[in-house]
Amino acid sequence: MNQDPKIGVFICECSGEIGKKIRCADLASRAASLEGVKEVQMHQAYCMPAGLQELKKAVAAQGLDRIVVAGCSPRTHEILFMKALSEASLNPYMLDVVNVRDHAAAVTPDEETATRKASAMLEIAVARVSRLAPLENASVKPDKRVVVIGAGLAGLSAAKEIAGRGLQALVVEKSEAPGGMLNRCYTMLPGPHKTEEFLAKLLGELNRNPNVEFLFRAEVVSFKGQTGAYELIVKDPSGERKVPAGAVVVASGAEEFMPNGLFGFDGRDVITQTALESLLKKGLDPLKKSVAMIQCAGGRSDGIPYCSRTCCMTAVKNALWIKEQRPSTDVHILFRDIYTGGPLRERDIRTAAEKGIRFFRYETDNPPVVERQREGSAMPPLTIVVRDLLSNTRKELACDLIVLSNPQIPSRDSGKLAAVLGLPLDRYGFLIDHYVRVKPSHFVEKGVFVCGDVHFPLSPYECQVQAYGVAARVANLLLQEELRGNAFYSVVDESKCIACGLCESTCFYRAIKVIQDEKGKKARSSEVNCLGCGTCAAGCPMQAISMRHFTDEQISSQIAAAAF
Amino acid sequence: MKGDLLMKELEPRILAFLCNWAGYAAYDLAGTKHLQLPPILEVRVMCTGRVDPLQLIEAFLNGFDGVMLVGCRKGECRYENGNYYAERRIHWLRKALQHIGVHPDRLYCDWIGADEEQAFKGAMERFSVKISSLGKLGKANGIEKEKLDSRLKALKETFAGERIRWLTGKDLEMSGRTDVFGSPMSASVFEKEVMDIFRNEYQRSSILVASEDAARSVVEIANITALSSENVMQEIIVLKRLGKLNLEGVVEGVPKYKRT
Repeated sequence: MNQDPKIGVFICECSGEIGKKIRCADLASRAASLEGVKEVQMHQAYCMPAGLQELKKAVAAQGLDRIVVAGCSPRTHEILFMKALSEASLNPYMLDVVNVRDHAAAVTPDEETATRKASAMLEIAVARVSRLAPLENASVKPDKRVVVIGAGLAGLSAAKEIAGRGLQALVVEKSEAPGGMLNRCYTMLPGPHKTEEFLAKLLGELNRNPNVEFLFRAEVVSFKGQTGAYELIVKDPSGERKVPAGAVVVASGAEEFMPNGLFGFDGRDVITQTALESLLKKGLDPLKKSVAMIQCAGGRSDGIPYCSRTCCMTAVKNALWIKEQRPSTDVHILFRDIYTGGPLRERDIRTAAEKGIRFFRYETDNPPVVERQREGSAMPPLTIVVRDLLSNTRKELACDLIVLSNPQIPSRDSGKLAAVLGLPLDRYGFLIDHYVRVKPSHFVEKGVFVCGDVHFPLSPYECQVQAYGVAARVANLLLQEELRGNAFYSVVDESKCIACGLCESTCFYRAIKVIQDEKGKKARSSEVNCLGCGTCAAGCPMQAISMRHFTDEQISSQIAAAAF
Repeated sequence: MKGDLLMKELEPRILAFLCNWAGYAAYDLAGTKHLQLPPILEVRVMCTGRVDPLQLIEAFLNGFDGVMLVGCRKGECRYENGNYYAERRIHWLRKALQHIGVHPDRLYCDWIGADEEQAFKGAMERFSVKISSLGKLGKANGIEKEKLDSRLKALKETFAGERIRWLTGKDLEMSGRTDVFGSPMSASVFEKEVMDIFRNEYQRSSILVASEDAARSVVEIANITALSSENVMQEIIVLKRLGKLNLEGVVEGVPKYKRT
């Protein structure tokens, strides 16, 4: 308790709402008798300019250092009185607003009960307010550096946009070269643009920009700090380095599912779409006169229940490319459902059909069977036997090359990365953003963003759109002068903390974490990220955490004041 | 100054912990609509997750006959999971209250949306009726005030101890977890373990509370705490080792122990 609190109690009659139901004069004399109360005043409406003026005058005249307003709800009026306190050069948190209007005057049957209840509420508030401490909002000057994890299309696009806004981007890539999935594609959706040319242009732009820096064969091994002031440790062949950053963009991409054991996959004449892309780059072998593509090769199955979204587009794109380059080639596409996503690509299926690409629809329960001819046979080496639902007949397709449209799966490293950064994964292992509608591409951790295939399988166009969106969000965050948080946040008494980690597992917002540093292993609160619920404080086994503005002492004093 | 205001004779004696976003808001709305509510006193917190079991026990120690907690509806917590933690804390405290002879229904929690003033009124009325029917704390089931207070004090000590706080805090995480063989942790097994530990901790706390004001012999402590002498002796050995209890002296050949 403050040694010598000078409490002012202001009883608002609420133009009769309170005054007619509660004996305000009795309430005032009761308040005046309470410990620490120096001044008690009444007014018709403290929320009106005249009332606020009276209040401010009293604060100055009596040298009050904290006040209680008995009036209406703090949910609506606290902010008004906080402002008044600031204007009276008092800390705005030295205040308690008691809702005697809604919780006493309006809900009790008679004047006596209403007055008694209001009196008890006032006592509780006076006890609390005499234990309040002046508070300041948490604030951080954001670091202008951004760590982008992954140098694939999403990561590079994000880095380009972030650097373009005057922030610095450090791109951390686990392989030796930038490009990611782009390196494995010959042409790029939408439309047959050459990936190589696109990538060279993008990298040229990035290399010319002094705000972009690359680290290859590197990974993030530790992550701590709070929004605007993170500290990462990045390990690359030259060793570990500390990287301060204001925000982190995760764009580490996905992986290709290898359809081992499906449709006779052998990597030679039964290959994946990406293998086909590299064949197309070299120029397709003229002996491959007949090519068949099998969709959903592994996707939408028990193991990978989701649709990988981009394989239909890729198959149609590659089929059209083959047909345009060498019209005499037979191209077949065997699908379960086909969708090429968006008005721009939708017509591709029709174009493909017009150009002579043949479509067959197979049933999930009756997938195509691949048969191999004996060596030395004059026939094409492979035959697909399929029950086609479109013509309702059994088809036998002889082909030289079978291409399996395999889905994208979460990268093996994304689980590890998620653990380092403390990010949630969905049931498949993709990174999942928390508020899909309110804050897409955001995590609970305010300074960490996600874009690209690590999120879920995306077409290149969607990757770029996400990356640009994320870059804009990063800029919104980091181009501010200061990031402001709550005035009430959790504070850890490090002498009591045993680093058990219970608070960390309790905090949904990851605002309190056990961190090892020079001073030892202790729980540390991220002031800017703390929302002030206090769940960690109530659960701490060592009672080492206190919640500012709702401390144990304050709450206990309220309970004691309420005692009978 | 009116003397009767000092007495605060409000019935029933209930303290409500209300979260700012739901319980408190629903109360505001009930007031705006001029619903008639029992005169229950309240403490506003930002989230029901802030409410420590110690504070709930303090309310009973301060003479309240019932304590209620009202937070956001499940899944609608302003802070995502505060009310789930609060619910588990209430769960364990209710079990503990039962153990010391306080009716568990004296502690009540409910999850009511900010717009559900009628539900709020219903909850307040039901709980008031419940507390009225249960009667005054202690008196109703014939426990003397002093005895009840020392039990509650021991309970507070128990819930201040790291063992109970850790276990009850880990509860939410543990209940969804599987053991090393992949079979899920059974709720009943976990509950039994926690209650065993609780009973043990409570024994120690009550011995400490019994030896707080004066040095007492094993038999005296056993009488106060209603434990067997063997049990008290065993625990005294442990508590001495933990440095929580001292041998004060030997009076007429009987060793007397006092809390440090």
